[in-house]
Amino acid sequence: MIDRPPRATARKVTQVLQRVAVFAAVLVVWQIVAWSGVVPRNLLPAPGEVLDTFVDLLLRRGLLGHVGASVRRVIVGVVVGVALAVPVGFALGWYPAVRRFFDPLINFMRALPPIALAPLVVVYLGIGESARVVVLVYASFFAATVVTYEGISGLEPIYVRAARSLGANGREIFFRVVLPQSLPHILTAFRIALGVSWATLVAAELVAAQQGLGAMIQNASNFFQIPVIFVGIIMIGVAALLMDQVLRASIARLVAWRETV
Amino acid sequence: MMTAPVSKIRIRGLWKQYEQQGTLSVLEDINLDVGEGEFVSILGTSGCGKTTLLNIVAGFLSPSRGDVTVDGRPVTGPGPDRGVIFQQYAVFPWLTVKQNIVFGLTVAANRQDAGRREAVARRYIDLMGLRGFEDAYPKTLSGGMKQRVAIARAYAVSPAILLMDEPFGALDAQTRDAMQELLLDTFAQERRTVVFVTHSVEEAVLLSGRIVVLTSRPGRIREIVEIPRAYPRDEAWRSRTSRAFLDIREYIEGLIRQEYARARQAHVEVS
Repeated sequence: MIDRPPRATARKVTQVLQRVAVFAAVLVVWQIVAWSGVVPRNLLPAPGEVLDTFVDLLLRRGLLGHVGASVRRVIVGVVVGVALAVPVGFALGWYPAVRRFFDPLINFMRALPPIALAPLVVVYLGIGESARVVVLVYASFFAATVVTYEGISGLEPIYVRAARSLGANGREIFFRVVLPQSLPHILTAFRIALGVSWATLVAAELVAAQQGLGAMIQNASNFFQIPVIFVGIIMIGVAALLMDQVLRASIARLVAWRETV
Repeated sequence: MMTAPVSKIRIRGLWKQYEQQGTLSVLEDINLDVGEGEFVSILGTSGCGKTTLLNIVAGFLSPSRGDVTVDGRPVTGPGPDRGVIFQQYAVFPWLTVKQNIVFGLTVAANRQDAGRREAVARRYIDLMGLRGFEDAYPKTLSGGMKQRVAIARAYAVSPAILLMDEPFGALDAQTRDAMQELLLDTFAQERRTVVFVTHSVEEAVLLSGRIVVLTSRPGRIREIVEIPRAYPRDEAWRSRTSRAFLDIREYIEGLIRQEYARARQAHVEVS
């Protein structure tokens, strides 16, 4: 690692630059639009103003608390949602008859925007933390179920045949052939569920949340604090992107055996 | 005193039909005995049912009629007494070369202790020329090496019978030649019963003791050709260019050509 050839380092730096280039471009355009005065100042704050608000929120108004609350909710929602989705996805992927029966229902439920469920959740579960997490569980469950069962139903039967002719019994085939082969699909389900959960977060935090980025955005909206809304939106994007990067890196490690096409 | 030859695999009155838009007959009235330690190839036109026949012996498919016994016991499903080698290798991509080879020795049906597993792994890693690749994942290996891993994995559980379904069909010509040599050497060293499906006449003549030629669909046994050459096969035979080799090859190619012509004829009559 220490004597990595300079060219590899240079390539790495170029890669990172390429990735952030688009954000730099957006900043420049944003700054120009703000300067030009085409959009009224109170509707579109300049980047500098948003940065000041960010620092203020971070140091004096508990931004980290909001971020922490949201991250915790998303993680709980995703972990519970995926944990429920994996067995269901296996059952659906393994038994085509079960899938044919449930498929229309799953697609119906998946199509419902979680925000439409929020009022119902309040009626059923009140306004506690569980109510908010349930919305995230719901969203990640259906996304993860579909990804898992599509992965399972696409597994190569030849590996099962090979294992059976080597003497493996049903349990061994499940744990040592089906499961390892499904791992990449389960991890993909995790990634998809994570994305969906961040997208659903604001809806979940509509349910009377005090803490959380979604709650912060809504409060700011009530008081017409546009820069705070900007900070909230950017923080959701950054958190989602960072978590996705971490997950991608761990997936690459966990399924290093995978053939990259 | 003469003892009757021991029949390892016995196939009697075997039919395989699929019910779809009428009855599709794939195999008809197959009767075949394969002796202990014999190398039998099954040859035929594409779609003649040779892979179906192998899959029935492997226990992946069941016959519509008739029965298959191995050592006198009817085949009811796959088992470690019949190792299978697939054209698509089927090496587990999530396991390393060594883990693949010992897979069959880690399942409950055939569990061996770590020392024994290590010894078996060593032996087949050496035999198949895989030394230095023990800890590699299959994605880093060439097709020929993957197939060597698959062969080692099948041999490791010491199956009485090896069923090979066009194992070298996906390999390039040079690798294919090398793999045929390797298989001949392995067969000479560890005499097991082999049933080998191929559509290469040359390959069948090079490797087999007997060649079963099937008719075009529905597959029936057209002819069984004996190859009067002992194992280990001598250099002249391995060169594939001796008079005797070419004569047999030409004869069987003639049979296959007739079957292709018959299939075309049948096709014309139907349409």
